[in-house]
Amino acid sequence: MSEVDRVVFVVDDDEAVRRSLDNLLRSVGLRVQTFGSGQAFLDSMLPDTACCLVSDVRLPGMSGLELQRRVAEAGRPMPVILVTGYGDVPMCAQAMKAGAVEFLTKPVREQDLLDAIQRALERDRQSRDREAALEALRRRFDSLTRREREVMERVVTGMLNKQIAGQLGACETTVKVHRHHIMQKMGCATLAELVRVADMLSVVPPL
Amino acid sequence: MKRARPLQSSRARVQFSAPRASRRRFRTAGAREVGQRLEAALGAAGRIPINAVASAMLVIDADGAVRSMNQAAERLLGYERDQLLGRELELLVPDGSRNLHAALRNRFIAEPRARCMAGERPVVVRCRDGREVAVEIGLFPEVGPAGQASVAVCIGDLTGRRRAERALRDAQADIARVARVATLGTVVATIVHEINQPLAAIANNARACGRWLARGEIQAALQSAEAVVADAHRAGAIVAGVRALASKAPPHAEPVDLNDAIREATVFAHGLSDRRGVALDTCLSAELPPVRVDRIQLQQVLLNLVINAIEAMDEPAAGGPDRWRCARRAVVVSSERAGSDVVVSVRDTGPGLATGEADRIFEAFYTTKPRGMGVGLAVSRSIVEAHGGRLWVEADVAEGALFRFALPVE
Repeated sequence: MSEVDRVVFVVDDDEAVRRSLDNLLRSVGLRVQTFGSGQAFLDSMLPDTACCLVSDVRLPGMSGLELQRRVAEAGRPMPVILVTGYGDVPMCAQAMKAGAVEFLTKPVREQDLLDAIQRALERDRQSRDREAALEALRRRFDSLTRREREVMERVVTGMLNKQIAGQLGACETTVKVHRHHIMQKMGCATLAELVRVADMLSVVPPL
Repeated sequence: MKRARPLQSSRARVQFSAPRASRRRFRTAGAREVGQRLEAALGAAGRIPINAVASAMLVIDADGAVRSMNQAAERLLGYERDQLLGRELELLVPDGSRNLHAALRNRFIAEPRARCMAGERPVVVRCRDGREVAVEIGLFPEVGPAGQASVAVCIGDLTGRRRAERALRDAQADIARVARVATLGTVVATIVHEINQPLAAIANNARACGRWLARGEIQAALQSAEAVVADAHRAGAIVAGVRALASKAPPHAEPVDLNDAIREATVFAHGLSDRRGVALDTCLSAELPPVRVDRIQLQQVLLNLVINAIEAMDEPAAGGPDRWRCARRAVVVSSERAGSDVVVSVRDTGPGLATGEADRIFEAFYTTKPRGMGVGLAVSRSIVEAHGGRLWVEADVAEGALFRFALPVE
């Protein structure tokens, strides 16, 4: 994934500061979008790529902390880096609890900011990758028939084909066929793999 | 609305009577007032029981001997009745002015009339223990039933009032000092914030400049360098404004062509107006005599008014959170001769001033901007007034806001 595929959002109400951050981040090859207020950011259409948000804490209207909360609640959470002129411990703790990646105090050292952005983008990329992988597995699981799901739920608990057949009132050969299809559809070569996938999808074994 | 009126007026009455009552309590009854009351009483009954008077009172005869005194006089002077009755009044006068006092007393007895002895200089009486007390004195001549003359002397003690006055002065000085310190704290915090912003921007842009250079992106590097300069100017302007506010230094006056100054200021402001999509125009009178002003300070005033006008376009419309929208976003700076003045007008097409705002905008630390310091207009007005001019906002304009200042022609 190249730098160009990643976007850094900057929210600061001071135009000069905003423009200078835009300039600085572009000079290291990052894509940047700037906003004058938290609301302007929330109202905008976000690109479907790894991103992070750099916001001043002290903003007119919606504060940086409030913006962070709203971003966390939104459908598309992303790492947030908060910058403040008056960093106090309780505020910092509150921000961290709410999931801020970094809490930087002005004057911000350029390298600290760039490092924080790199970490945030990396974290967002990983969580996006994880989410994408999980989504693929979910689609595979959705392609199973109802009967296949019932069999899978039992296979991953370690039940033998014979036991499953007895429980579902089917013959053992049929269960075997279902099992083969399940392995194919879920893209798993071994039972261990299937168990891991079931765990990721939180497949609940029958009572 | 009608019901509100009596409520309002009754509140006004309470507010009005409260300070009056306290004033009366605060003040020592002056000899003049006592005297007037006394005079009225004398006129009615011919005599009064002087112990009923709260102020110190003595009665002397035509020879200046004390004939009577009340308890308040005993308390004030430290003498008991028996120690003073029959003695000369001059016993109560400080050593240096005894002879003079005796002469004045004789003249008074010869031509008696009620009068107050306070005047310009404080009158001083000497108490038994040698203390000298500042007083005001009222003199009221009386003719007794047997035709003998006497004078009632009312003595009002001023020390209590003096002490109260001094305490009041001290308290006022304290309040002024506290206010100065508090204001200073606020100002410092605001200044620190305002200067930190452009400094942060300078650091960012300078770093970016280096990186662009390293990547061979000369154009972007040049733009970064220009941004550094603009940010540095902004920081400098804030410092200059603070200095103007803090020092009230006498301006360095020189003959200045106002039109030149306006052109320079608009050149500075063009960057901002372009970014904000505001047309910035000038309409300058060709025949303008020079004015004697401090060029730098005049620039500050002009820039401040122009930047305010440009920023006004993006302020919310009056009475709502919506952004102000207008067909034409324009700021016009014009100059003209008006009698013995030269008048500069800065007109915008923004939302204008809300009712009542015009009264407050020149107050220090009043601002409508989220991050404004609220000193721009206050500083501007003090600068213009230091040059013998006036800065004001026109009340009735069809559109936007119109700020004007007038400077006297040299």
